[in-house]
Amino acid sequence: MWRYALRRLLFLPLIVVLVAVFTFVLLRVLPGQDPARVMAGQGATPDQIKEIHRQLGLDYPVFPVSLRGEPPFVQLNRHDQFSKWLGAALRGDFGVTYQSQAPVRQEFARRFPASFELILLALIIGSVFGISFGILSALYRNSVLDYVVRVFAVFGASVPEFFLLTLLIILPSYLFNYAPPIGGYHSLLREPMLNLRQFGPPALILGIGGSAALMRLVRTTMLEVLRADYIRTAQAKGLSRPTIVLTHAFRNAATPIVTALGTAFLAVFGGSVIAETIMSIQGVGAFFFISTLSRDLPVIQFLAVYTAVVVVLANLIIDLSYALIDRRVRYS
Amino acid sequence: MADNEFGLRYWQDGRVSRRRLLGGAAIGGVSLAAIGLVGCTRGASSNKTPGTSATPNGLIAATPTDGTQDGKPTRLGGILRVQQNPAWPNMDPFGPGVLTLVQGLALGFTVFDHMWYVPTDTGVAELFLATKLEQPDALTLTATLGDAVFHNKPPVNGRKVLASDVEASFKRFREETGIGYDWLHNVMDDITSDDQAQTVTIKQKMPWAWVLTSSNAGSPITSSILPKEILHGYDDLLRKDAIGSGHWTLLSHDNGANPKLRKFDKFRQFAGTKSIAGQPYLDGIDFTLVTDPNAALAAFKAGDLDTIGFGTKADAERTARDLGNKVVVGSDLGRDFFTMMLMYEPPFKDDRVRHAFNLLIDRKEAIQVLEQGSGVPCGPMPPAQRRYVLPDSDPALQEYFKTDVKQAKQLLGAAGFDLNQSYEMKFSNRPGDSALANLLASQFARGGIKLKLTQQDLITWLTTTLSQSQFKLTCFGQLPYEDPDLPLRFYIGKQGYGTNFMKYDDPKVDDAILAAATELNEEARIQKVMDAQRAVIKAWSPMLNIYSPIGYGGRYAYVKGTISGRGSLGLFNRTTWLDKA
Repeated sequence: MWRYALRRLLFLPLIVVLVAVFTFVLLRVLPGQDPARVMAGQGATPDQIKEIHRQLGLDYPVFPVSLRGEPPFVQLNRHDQFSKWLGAALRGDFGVTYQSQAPVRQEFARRFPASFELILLALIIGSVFGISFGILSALYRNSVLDYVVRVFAVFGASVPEFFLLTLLIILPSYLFNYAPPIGGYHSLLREPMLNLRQFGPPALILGIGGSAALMRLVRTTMLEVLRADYIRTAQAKGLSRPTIVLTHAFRNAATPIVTALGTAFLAVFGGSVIAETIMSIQGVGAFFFISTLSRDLPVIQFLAVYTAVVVVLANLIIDLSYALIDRRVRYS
Repeated sequence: MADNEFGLRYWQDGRVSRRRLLGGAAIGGVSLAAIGLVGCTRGASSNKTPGTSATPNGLIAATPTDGTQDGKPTRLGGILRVQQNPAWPNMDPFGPGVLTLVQGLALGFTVFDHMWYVPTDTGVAELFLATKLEQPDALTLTATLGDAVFHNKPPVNGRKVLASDVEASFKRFREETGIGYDWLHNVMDDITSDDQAQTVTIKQKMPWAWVLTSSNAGSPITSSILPKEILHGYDDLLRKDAIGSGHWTLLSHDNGANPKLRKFDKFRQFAGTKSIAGQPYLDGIDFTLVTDPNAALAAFKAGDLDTIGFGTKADAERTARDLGNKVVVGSDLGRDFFTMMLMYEPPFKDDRVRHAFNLLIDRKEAIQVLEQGSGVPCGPMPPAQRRYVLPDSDPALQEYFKTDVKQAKQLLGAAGFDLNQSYEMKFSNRPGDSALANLLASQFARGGIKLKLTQQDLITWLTTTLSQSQFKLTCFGQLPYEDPDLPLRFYIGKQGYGTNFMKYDDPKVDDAILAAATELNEEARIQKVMDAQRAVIKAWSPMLNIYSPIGYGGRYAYVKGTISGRGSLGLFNRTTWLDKA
């Protein structure tokens, strides 16, 4: 399994480079993407724009190889933006943000804990909701509980998170003049209650959004497994219901559930951008959002690569977990 | 005397009451100084502070709402909690670029001091650090500074503010570019200083009557006074910290978010006395970054913010109903205005076409639809600039506000305007702009004009479409300018005098506007500003203003001592305090 994992990890640099190239191209060919114009301000002269390009290294060709319309059609560039960025990135230097001029890595590190907590909390909530109610729904099929869970799952899957997050703010305010702590960051260690008040509600929304699909999948899979012969055998052997459900049924239903968990993680990961923006949480998602608006190329570039790494690693962990859950799975 | 020609009043002369001089509008505006990228958000809401009511003609009384004037306050102090939106990119008032407006304004209103400021309501310069302003001739302005010290932070360490600091700061700002930098580049010839006499002398290339106003030498950004030793070679420090001599010191910030300001006890010390009557009264201001308007409203209602700028009249009314007498909710006519521009090239080079477009604009409908009736039609001069606005009875203004579809069609026909073609109108993705674009499209359709609406993200629209004049038609919300100078300068075609995005060039309009700008006698200048507006209307200049919105603000009743209606002077407010335990 470890060889398999290593082999998968070897693909990571390739994926990172592909994402980096793709982002590099997109950021430089789309209209209105010139950060120099943002930085120079209105009324800037072409010379000033040129000078900012020079300072930012944007006056170099984008890639080491350029295509030309005349022979020899291909031109090798001694200096180019991408090689410079890649070389620095390999040394752990992702440049400085155009806005604050602080190192991107430092900015990211400062914001990461808030995002990590939000995502982790949302994932825990989503998993607990999705799995437990999915199992209960399957066990009490066609009961009131089952219908409630199914309606809830459809609701959670169909209502966009930004709407629920906005409602989360508006409704308590409208009804009770209450609002969760908005803005700033309340540390879990120093201010646990405030932290919970700040992160709990958005994590709940993100988690429930992510749990909807999980809930339905758990229910379907469990229903299938509960009809299996070995479950009937277990019942005939007189095993207790919790043992049958958790040890025999759930374990065999777990593989597709883990896949769904991976999807839920990616949904929560993406949803955190919206949640952080609406709740004014100074996390990585809000950082990505504001940097995109202000054409902060080094930040966008870094976060695109970061996202790619997270997605690849998440998928790898999911794949590896199959072997841990199901002994029949062997990687070669 | 030249001073009077500038309308200067010295507080030492007693012609301006001390209270009036020191009064500032609601501090809630402080948060909103940082409003939206390049002020192109619904920035006016920032300055829409409670305590006043806008009258139909835009007159706003600059009266204290409560607090200090009716007797001594029981307790001065408190930490005011206000909204911040957006985060300040960094603490550097010099950049980068359009983002400067965010931190430049916010810090300029709080951490940095200035020699003087011209409030919107009077248009008369009020002295800040300067104790005297003289104009020996039409091109020279000399300011004598009072005593002040910088904040006690290294490497400045609380040293005395020198005249040479002012000189160096002006020169440093001149190295930058931007819409508010025209005066520095095109009008200011030189600035010199004398540290012994504590005088600063500004030489201008031409007489410029608006020299003291916020778009010129009195800019809240570019007249900020910084210590000269950190102006070059201290980029890292400038990005992380702000060292000024203003009434607030920057205590901390979370990389531009949630900054905390604290009272500067040695603010503008004169001859060893302790600041100005203990001002500012507040102990500090805590900003909280809240980017979502619903979240900001919720935080205000939950008591986590002390002031708020409401997004809509309905929000203001509902909050007043929900919280009762715990809050004070008021309205204020914004200095911002919505406008549309036509590129000065065929077919819009024909004044009949521009006239027809104006005739198709139904300003009352726009106010009703887009602002639920909370707005005032806007002519060439925003109505909040009330001393300079053409009276409603003026025939030119009546003609400007006229809506006549039939006449518009006749004019378009006479001009040979091609109604079979679609004309592209670009606008940014701010909700206000897109709503306006859609409404204008429906209004122009009544005249048979087809618009193709193109929405762009704000930065693309700002840096490419507007700044590089890459549009046929565009519409947007203008900044809440605090003087009558900039709104008129958009029409000037002459190089070096303004920022003309429409490539518009009409010597008669230029002459009329420049005649006002170079008229030093205030009464005569007011008349010339009105003449300039008439010239703009007569030529159907291609920036067609639509309306100014009325904004709504709220504060908890324990926030005392606020004054509104003075423009950015409110952001200099030093008399606010919290009447609570």
